[in-house]
Amino acid sequence: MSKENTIEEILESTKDIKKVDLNPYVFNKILLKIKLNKDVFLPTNLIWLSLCTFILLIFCNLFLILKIDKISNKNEDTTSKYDLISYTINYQIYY
Amino acid sequence: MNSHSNSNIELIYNEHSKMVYNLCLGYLHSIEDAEEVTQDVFIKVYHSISEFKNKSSLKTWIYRITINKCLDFIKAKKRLKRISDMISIFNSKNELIHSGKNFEHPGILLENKEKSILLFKAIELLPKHQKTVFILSKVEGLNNKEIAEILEKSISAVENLIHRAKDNLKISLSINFKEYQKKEIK
Repeated sequence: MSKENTIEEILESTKDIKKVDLNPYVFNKILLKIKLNKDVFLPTNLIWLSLCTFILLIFCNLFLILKIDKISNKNEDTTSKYDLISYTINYQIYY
Repeated sequence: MNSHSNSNIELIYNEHSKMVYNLCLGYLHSIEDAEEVTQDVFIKVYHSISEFKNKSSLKTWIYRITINKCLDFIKAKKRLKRISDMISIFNSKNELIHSGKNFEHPGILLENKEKSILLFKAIELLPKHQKTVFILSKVEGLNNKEIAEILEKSISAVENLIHRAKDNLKISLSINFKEYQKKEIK
């Protein structure tokens, strides 16, 4: 038998396929799942939404930390300037 | 859950469960997975029956839900397989949690068993639209008009997809032809 004929036969092998019966307990399982209101898969939208919220929260935190750090640096800078001025004045007064 | 909606879902289940299960079986190549997705389909039907607006027949609507659920299931399984592959890199035994197996469809005639195993293996490699169309046409036995209605495509687009699916199947079957010949000789 040629290769082409065999491939054609393989492609036609599902031709007289019989419909398979379902396990009779499946319907009870469905009813039970509906009763428990439990879906097997979490909706994909919900997963994406929670992921985006998580990433956004991280960015907000980073932004806040950086801003706080900048403010404290600025304060430190001004206090050191003030210290220097007061020191110079004191020095001048003393002498 | 009231008794009215309960009896409604029972009626729909009795009429369409066989069709849903067989489509899942053709798609997922596993009895357990097909049962699981069949359950998901009817849970979805139960929750969304109020959204059904008679634009298409109930059968077509259930077919659409089944196809989407099967695609979601395959996607979730692939994701799981990717994770298991990653775990297996670190596993000293180097074992895969999920590995592909030969699927013997319970509805296939005995003389076609070997051939159908090869065919289902090849179907698994098809792109999703070609796979859907081929299963609906050759396994479910739907005509092109019905398939076009389910997939919301034109009949010519469906014909084109079937043609491309057949071409791709021929290519992958000719690659696996030697394997089939060895089995035939045995």
